[in-house]
Parts: sequence; C-alpha cells; structure tokens
Amino acid sequence: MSLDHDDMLDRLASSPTGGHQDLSKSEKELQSLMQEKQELMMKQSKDFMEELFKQNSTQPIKVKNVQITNGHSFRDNFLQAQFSPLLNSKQPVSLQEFLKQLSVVENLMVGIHPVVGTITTQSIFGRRTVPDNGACISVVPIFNTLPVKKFYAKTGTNIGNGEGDGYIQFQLKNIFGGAENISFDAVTGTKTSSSYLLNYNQPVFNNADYISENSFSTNTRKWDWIQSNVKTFGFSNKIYTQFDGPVNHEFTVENYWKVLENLNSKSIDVYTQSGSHFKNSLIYNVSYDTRNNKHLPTQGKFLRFGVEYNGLFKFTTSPFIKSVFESQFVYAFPKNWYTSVILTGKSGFLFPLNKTTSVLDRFYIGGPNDVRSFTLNGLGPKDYNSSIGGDMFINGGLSFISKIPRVSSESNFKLHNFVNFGKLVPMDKSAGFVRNFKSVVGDFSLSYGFGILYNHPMARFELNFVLPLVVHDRDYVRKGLQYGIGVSFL
Amino acid sequence: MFDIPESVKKLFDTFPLTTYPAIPKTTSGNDEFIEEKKFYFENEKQSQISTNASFSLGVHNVVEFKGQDGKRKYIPSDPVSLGQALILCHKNKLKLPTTSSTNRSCNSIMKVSFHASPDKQLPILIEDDKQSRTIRTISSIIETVAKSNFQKHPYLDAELLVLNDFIDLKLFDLWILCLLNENIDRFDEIFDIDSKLDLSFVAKSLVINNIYSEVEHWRAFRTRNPNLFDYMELLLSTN
Repeated sequence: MSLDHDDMLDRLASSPTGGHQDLSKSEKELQSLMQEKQELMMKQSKDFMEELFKQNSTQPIKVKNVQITNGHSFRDNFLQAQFSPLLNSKQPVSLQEFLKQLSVVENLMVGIHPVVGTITTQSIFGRRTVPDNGACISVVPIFNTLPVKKFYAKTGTNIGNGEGDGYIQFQLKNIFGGAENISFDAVTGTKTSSSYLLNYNQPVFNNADYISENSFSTNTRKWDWIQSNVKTFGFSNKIYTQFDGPVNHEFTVENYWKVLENLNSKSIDVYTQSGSHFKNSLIYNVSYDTRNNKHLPTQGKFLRFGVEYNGLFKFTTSPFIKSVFESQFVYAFPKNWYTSVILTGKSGFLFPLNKTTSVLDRFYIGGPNDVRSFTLNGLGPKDYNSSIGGDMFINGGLSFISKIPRVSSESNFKLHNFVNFGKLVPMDKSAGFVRNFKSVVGDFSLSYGFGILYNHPMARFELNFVLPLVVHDRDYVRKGLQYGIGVSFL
Repeated sequence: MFDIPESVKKLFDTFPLTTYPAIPKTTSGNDEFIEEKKFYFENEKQSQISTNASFSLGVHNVVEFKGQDGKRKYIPSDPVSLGQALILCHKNKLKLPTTSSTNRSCNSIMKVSFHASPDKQLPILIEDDKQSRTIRTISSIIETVAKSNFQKHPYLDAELLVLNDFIDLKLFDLWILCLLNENIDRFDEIFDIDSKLDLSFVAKSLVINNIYSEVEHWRAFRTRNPNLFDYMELLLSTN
C-alpha cells in the first residue's frame, strides 16, 4: 500500500470542511442549494439518457469517425488500434452493441497506464448526428482525455507485510506516444536495506490488452527467518493480459543472480547454501477472478494456477519445477445479515531437479497475512531457530466478515472471525508420491481468532485476537493481539 | 509492575490444545547434498573413542594431495585454512582426510562459501554437541589458539608467539596480496567456482568480482594497508 505525502497534502488542501469555516450562514445555505441544483440536473440528465437508450436500443447506429481531445499525445497508429473496435464494423450496429463497443474502447483507454482520468462522452442524437438512409443514424463519439503528464516524481512510505519503507519514484509516461512508460524506484526500509528498480512497460503491438513489462532490479533484503541477507541482481521480462473478462494470463522469464549471506544462522542448510545462486526461470500464471474487490471481496471467485521451470541455462544453480494453486470463494449471506464468508485455499509443490532445493526457492508460510496466530514464516521445518522452508504446503482459512453493531453497513470497519490452517513439509524424492502426499495432508496447524479490520482502498488493516489451537513442535506461535497490513490475506 | 491476571495466564497456557511432533527438517536428498561437501578427518588410532561432540572446519575448497605415505589426501585449497586444519589435526590427534577412508572420525572439513561466515571470511569452525552448535569465525579461532597456547607463559614462549603472529598476520597479508595482484591459474579451484559457470562470461564475472570485493576486507587488510590501495587507485586513475 502507499501513503503518498503529496497525495495526502492535496486531500487535506481540498478538504470541504476547510472551505466552510469562514462562510456566513446565508452563504452556506446558497452553497447547499447550488449543490442540490447540480445533483438534480445530473439526475435529470441521467434519467433522460437512460430513457433514450431504452427507447432506441434497437436503433441501427453507424460510426462515421471518432474524435479525441488531446490526441496529439498519442501516435496515429496507436489511436487507430485503440478505436478499431468502433471503426472496423462496416455494417450498422444496434445501439446496444454500439454501447458495448464504446465501453470496450473506454476500458482499453483507461487500462493504458498513462491515460489519466479518461472521460468518454458520446454525442448520440445530438448536434453531430446525421440521418443516413432513413433509419440508420451516424454518430461521432468524442473521447475527452486529460493531457498526459510526461514526467512524474513522488516520494512516499509503504507499510505492509510486517515491514515499512520509504521510496522515491520517477516516471516518464507515454514516451513514444503509444503508452510506453519508464519508471525508476529507489527504496530503503526496515527489511529492504536498499532496492533499485528500473521498469519499462508498453502495450504489445498497440494492443492495450497485452502489456509487456521489462524490469531490471538490484536489492538487498533481510530474511529474518533464516537470519540472513539476500542480495538480488537481475532482470525479468513479462507479458501479461488485462482483459476485461475474468481470465488473465501472465508469462515471465526471470534471470537473477542471488547471493545468500549468512548473518547469524546456525542452520546447516543456510551455511551450506550460502553464496551465489543463478536463477533462470520461465513462469506461467493463469487466473480467473470475478471478485468485486481484491482486498475484501463480498462476492465472487478467484482461482490462480502458476507453474515455474527454473533451469533455462546449464549454469542454473538449483533447477526445479514449482507449481502453486490458489483459490478464494466468497459468499454473501442475505442482504439484511450484512455478513459474508470467505473461503481461501492455497497449495504449492516444489520438485528439485537436483538432490535438494535451495532455501531461496522454498515455500514459507505463517504470519498475520497468512496462517494467523503464527509468526511470519513461523510454520514448517526448523533448524537451530531458522525457518528453513519446505517443498510442499497446503494452507487455507474460513473468514466471516460482518458489520459492526450500531455502525453503518457502508463503513469500512468490519468484524472478523476466522479459522486458519496450514502445513509445510520438505519433499523426500526417495519416498514416493503417496508418502509425500500423506505427509502434507492432515495434522494441520490450526488457529482461531477474531478482530476488527479496516478496508482502505489501497490495502487492508487487521487487528486480531488470535489463539493457536493445534501446532507442531517448533512452530513459532503468537498468542493474543496480532496486526496485519497488506493486500492479500488468507 | 503490571502483573498478568492469573485467569488470563491460565487461558493463554491452555493453548495450543494439541501439539504434534516437529516437522522433519531434512530429507535423504538434502543429507546427501551436505555429505558431498564434507571430507572426514581420520583418527590417528583405530581405538580412538568417539564422542558426541564434533566439529567441521568450513573452507573454500579442498584439493587432492599425495602424502609421504603414498595416500591421496584432501587439504584445504587456501593456506590459511590449511594452517587451521593442521592445528586441529595436531590438537585432536587426527589425520587429514583421505580419498580411501579407513578410520573415519566424526570431524570434517566442509566446503562452504565465504558468505556462510558472519564476517565473510573463511575458515569457520562449526562445533556441534548434542544440544547446541557454535560457529567460530577466523578471528575467534586465532584468538583461541593464541590464548590457550601462549598466554600461560608469554615470556617463555616469546619466540613461538612471534612466529605465530608472523603466520597469522604477515603470511596472511602476503596471501591476500597474491590474490589481489597475481594472476592465479587455479583461482577457480581455490574458491570452488562451479565449472558450469564457464558457459556464461557474465555469470562467472559476477562471482569472481564478488570474491575480489570481499578479499581486500579479510582481516581488515584494506584498513591496515590504506596506502597500498591509495597507490593502486592512483595508478588506475592515471592510466
């Protein structure tokens, strides 16, 4: 999540309460009447448009051309590609179909990162309509886009997942007029002693549904759970989709040099694996997401399957195949109950192509955003107080989210009751599939808790009272209060 | 001071309700991976009593060496670690590891990266007993050797003390100078650089530069010899 200093100052400066302080009673009354008038006009306009669309839903429409304000910011062929859904249909379409195409274009325009606050207006049946062959109406949609800020710099702080940091970010937007962006981030914080990221992204072949992202990064992060530092240096190339529908794909090639530096760990896994590691992997993710909110959904489903192959080059240090499956199902109780249930499940499998897996590649579970009532990465195998991670895991949770009594149902504060479970184990290649499967299924660590959560648009905050019900010896448990901040929770 | 009420304490102590045994921390594959890095010292005598305590000397790499008895032995690839391995052999009545082990002890030489050490220097001494594990850095090892051998009779052992300091400091500095200035043919072997990295110039350069960036800091070599580096930087800037 991000708490931008400049954004916050802007919000404070434009606070409506601030402006009211010096107004007299009659001025306040006038202001309120003007606001009411404005709202009434908007409502009338909306009702009129709705009625018009209803009456003319089967009216044939033909798009002669499309207009865009501030279009000089974009390349011609880029704009042509964006408007092609509207312009390519040679035959007249129904109004319903036209509005659908319009919304596709609008989504495309908004989906392109540098187009700030795209406003779409359409002058149907207005001054620009030209009767054509009697029943068919020609229309000229006009897209009002705000001018794109070419250069953007900001500083801010991030809080989440048990760490806090400060950052400075520079962005160059829409460099070649086709939504090409470069950003540079420098971060320093409690867990990340230094991080630099250079990112270049652009639509693939002018198609904003496909984004290509190339990033180069170097950072040093503390891995407290193995009392070590991890230095990372390398680049990743990613192509992902941002379709309007629920299914999206992501294809990534990663090439990283990682150095594991032991600080205090006495684990034999840590000190025998310290040093340089080369990771060269291919990653594919597919997701199905119909949730109405990513942080705190009240309805919808989320499914994600990811597979990674590490070993593109012969010098890859620890080749492996890794797969992850994630699911979330959200059900809302009848409306007057103001309660929803979130059922989440995750599982992962890491298969070494050498004798063993690296501590840098293994799974780690547990923590305020994961299996609650356990410390961060506090579940699974331990060696001399180091959580050395595992190769197979299953975890999940059942959460009841309900409104706080005597507080509006619209409030972002909610009551939260949950049960979480999880298990993380190493995989013994010599043991066979059945024995390994049995080792990860059953005898889960289990916890219960309740608390209050705040759903901010940028992230979710939780303060819970938690108790571990079932644990494994050497699990790192947390009893009592536990707080979590983040964008993804069990 | 604020005391936790007894009832609350009782409630908290009730949880967890069930505790399963700990999750196993290793697998046969992982054990095999670790064993490949270990080279066990030999006991001097067949009847030597084995204890619960053991140690491993963490070194960059080992190289094969033919001993006077004709046996092929493993010795650490760098002189500092070799010195410490010989001291350990002498003190614990052990022999260097051999290719054909006949009387293996529980103590070993282990190949690790210098990043395994908290101060990024090797050798390290990993001491295990039933309950705990201690990792000693090179500074701690040298200090312990000096304390336990020379401090009781410093005047009587003055000559040995000077000799010990000469090995620990002067010869060590000479070794660092060699690493920094000489074109060492067997550099990859000394630092156990994976031969697969020969396939990628970039990957190998990253690893070698990473070693060089640390070498000058070993035992505060750069801090103790600032003029040397000032002179080298001057040479580089004028060229």
